[in-house]
Amino acid sequence: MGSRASSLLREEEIEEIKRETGFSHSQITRLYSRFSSLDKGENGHLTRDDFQRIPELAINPLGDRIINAFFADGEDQVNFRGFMRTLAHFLPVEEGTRNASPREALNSRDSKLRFAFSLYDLDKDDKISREELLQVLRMMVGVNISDEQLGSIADRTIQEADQDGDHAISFSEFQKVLEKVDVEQKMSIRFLH
Amino acid sequence: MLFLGLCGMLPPQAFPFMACIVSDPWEPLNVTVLDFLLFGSLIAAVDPVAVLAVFEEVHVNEVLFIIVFGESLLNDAVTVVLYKVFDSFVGVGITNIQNVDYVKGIGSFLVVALGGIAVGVVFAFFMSLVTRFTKHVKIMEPAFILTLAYLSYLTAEMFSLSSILAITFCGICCRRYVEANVDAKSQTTVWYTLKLLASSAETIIFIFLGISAIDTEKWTWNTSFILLTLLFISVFRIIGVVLQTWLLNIGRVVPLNYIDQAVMSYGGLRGAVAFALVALLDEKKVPEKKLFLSTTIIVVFFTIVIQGLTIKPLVKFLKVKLSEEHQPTLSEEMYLRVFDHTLTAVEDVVGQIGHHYIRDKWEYFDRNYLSKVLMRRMARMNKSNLWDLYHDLNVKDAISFVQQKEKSGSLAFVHSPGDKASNINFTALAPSATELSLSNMLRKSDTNVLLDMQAVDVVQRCPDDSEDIIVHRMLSNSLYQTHRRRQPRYSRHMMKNDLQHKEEREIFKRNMLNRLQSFKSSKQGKHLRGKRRHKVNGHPGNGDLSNCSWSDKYNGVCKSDVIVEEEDDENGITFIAMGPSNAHEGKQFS
Repeated sequence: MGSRASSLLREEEIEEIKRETGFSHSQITRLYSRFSSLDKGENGHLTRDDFQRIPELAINPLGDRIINAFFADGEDQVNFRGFMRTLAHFLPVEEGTRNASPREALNSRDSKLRFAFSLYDLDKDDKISREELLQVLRMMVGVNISDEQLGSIADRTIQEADQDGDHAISFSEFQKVLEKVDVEQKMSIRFLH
Repeated sequence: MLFLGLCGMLPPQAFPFMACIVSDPWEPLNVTVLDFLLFGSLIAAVDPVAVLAVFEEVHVNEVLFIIVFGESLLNDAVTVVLYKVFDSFVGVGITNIQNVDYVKGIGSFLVVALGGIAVGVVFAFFMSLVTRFTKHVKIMEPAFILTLAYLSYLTAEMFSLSSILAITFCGICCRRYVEANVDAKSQTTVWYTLKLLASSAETIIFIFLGISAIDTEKWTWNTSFILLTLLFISVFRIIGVVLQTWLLNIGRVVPLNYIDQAVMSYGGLRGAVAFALVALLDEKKVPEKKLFLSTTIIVVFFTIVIQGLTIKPLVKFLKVKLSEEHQPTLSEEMYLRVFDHTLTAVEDVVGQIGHHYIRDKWEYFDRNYLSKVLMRRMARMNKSNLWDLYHDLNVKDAISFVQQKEKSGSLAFVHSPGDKASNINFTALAPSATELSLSNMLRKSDTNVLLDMQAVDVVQRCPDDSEDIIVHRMLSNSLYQTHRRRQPRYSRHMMKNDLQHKEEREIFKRNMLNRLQSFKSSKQGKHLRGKRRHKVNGHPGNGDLSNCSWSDKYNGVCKSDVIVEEEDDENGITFIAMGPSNAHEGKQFS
C-alpha cells in the first residue's frame, strides 16, 4: 500500500500541489494514501459512491452537500488534485502563507466563506433564495418543527441579512452577517503532519 | 470551546515550586529540601476564588478565562495531593524514602483526581434522574439541586478524594439535563442562592485571612526569604506558562500568542487555599512553620492586591481581546451549525479523529441513550436550538414592541378582517442600516399588526380557525354600543348626526317593524306555519339574503326572540319582509 501510493504520486505533482494549496509534503503524502484507500475502483478517481461508503457521512445532515462540493460542475469523478483543492479550503489560515498572495489563497477567509456559500447556493446564481434556505434548514432541524415554523425562521433569517430588499442573500450580505464570527477558526481543521 | 480550553489546563505546578529548592538559605534556617518542596507545593497553587473575582470584572475573552479559571479549579487535586505526599515524606524523613513511595505518590494523585471526578459524575447522573420526575413538586427542585451538589462535595471529602473536583464536575455534567428538566423559576432560584452563598463565603474567607495576618505572634520575618519567594514564583510561573503553551500550540487551530501568555502568567493569583494549607502545617515536623506562614500571608496579599488591581489596566494596555456580549442572530446560529457539520464531514473524509468527530460521537450517544434516561419527554422533544433562539428573539421583540406602543399611548391591536393572516409585511419596508430588529420594523409599520407573533403561525396552520377569528373581530366591531342613560347634550338646537344616533334610529325602526309584524301575525293565525321553514334558509330567490351569511344568524336571533314573545309560529311572509330591510341595514353599518 505504501509503496504503491508513492509510486503513483510523482515528485513534481507533489510540488505543484504544495504550491497551489499550501499543504506540506508529509500532509500531501498522508492524504494521498487516504485518497487511495477510498478509491475502491483503483483508477485514480473518486466517484460519489466512494464518498458515500464512508459511514459517518450518512448520519451527517449535510453529508450529501459536502460530497457534491468535491465534484466540479457536471463532473462525476474527482482526481487527487481536485480532492486536495477542496480540502485546502480547510487549512488554518496561517499555514497557507506559503502561497503567492495570502488574499487569494485557497484557505483565506474569503475562500472559506465562498465555499460555505456554495453549500447553500445549489443553482449557483450567487444568491441564497428562500427555498434554498428552507432546504438547508429542513436538513438540519429535527422533525418536531413543522413546515410553517421553518418558513418563519427562514423569513426571519432573510430579513435579518437582507439589505437590498430582494428577499435573497447575496454573497456580500452573507459576509456581513458573519463579520463578527471567527470564520478562520470555525472553518479550519488541523491536518496531521 | 470548552474542550479546547480543557486542553489548556495542565497545571504548571512543577516549575514554580522548584524555585524554592533553588533558593539557598542566606541566613541559617532550619529547613531541608523536603520542607521547601512542601512549601512550594502549597504556594504554587492558583486560587479559584481570587481568579474568579478578578477575571469576572475584567471580562477577558472566553478562551483565556477558561484556561486560567480551569487551571485553578483543577489544580486543587494536584495541590492537595502533593501537599499530603510531601507532608508524609517530611514526617518520615528524607533518608527513609524509598522509590516505592514516589510511585505511590504519583498513583495517589491519579486516584484522588479521577476519584473526585467520578464522584461528581455519579452525583450529576443522580441529580438529572431526580429532576426528571419533579414535575409535580416544582418547589422542591432547588432544594434537590443544592443538596445533591453539596452531597457530592461531602462524599468526596469522606473518601479523601478531591472534593472541589467532585463538585465542579457534578455541576458541569448535570447542567445540560437539569436545565432542560427544571422550571425556569427554579433555575433562577438556584442561580441567585448560589451567588449569594458564594459572595458571602468569599468575604468571610478574606476577612479571616486579614484577621489572622495581624496576629503578630505567629510571625517570623525574614526579608530575603520573602523577597526571593515573590521573585521566584513570578519568574517560574512565566517559565511554566511559556513551556506549556508551546506544547499546547501544536494541537491548537488558533494558537495562544504572547499576549495571552502574559495575561495567563499575571493572572495566577494565590489565595485562601495556600493560607489554609500552611496553617495546617505541623510545627513539629516543619520547624520553620512561622516563617512559611508569614511568607504565605505576604505572598497572598501581594498577588491579590497588587496583581489583582493592576491586571485590568494591563489588559487594556495589552489590548487583549475582550469577551463580546452580543446577541447571536438567527443567521449566525444557523451558519455556525452548518460550519460544524461541514467540519465533521471533512474530518470523516480525511479519516482523522479530530475534535468534531469526538464531539459528534458524544452527541450521538447523548441523544440516543443518555437523554432518554435523564431528560423529561417534553424537554427532549423541544431540543432544537434554532427554534429556541427564534422563539426567544420573537418574545423579546414582542415585549419591546408592546413597551413602545404603551409609551406612545395607543394600543392598536386590531386585526381588521380581509387582511392576510401574516400582517407583518416583511417585504414592504427596507430596514434601516442602524437597527435591523423586527421591533423597529413593526414600529414603523404601525398599522394593524397582530401582537402575538406566534399567533401568526397559529393562524396560518388552522385555516378554519382564522375564519372564526375574523368573524369574532367583525362581530366585536359591529355590535351596537349600549345606550347611555345620560347623554350630555351640548346644544339643544343642533341634532348631532353621530353614530350612536344612527344606531338608535335603526334599532327603533326595527323594533317597530317587529311589533307590527307580530301584531299582524297574531291576527292571521297559525295555518301559515309551514312556509316559514322554506324561507328562512336563505332562499336563493332573495339575493340579498343569501349573500350575508351572518344575517342568517341575525334572522335566527330575531326569530327566536319573536317566538318567545308570541309563543306561536310565525308565518314565512314575516321573515321575507324583514330580510331585505335587514340586509339593507346591515350594509349600512358594515
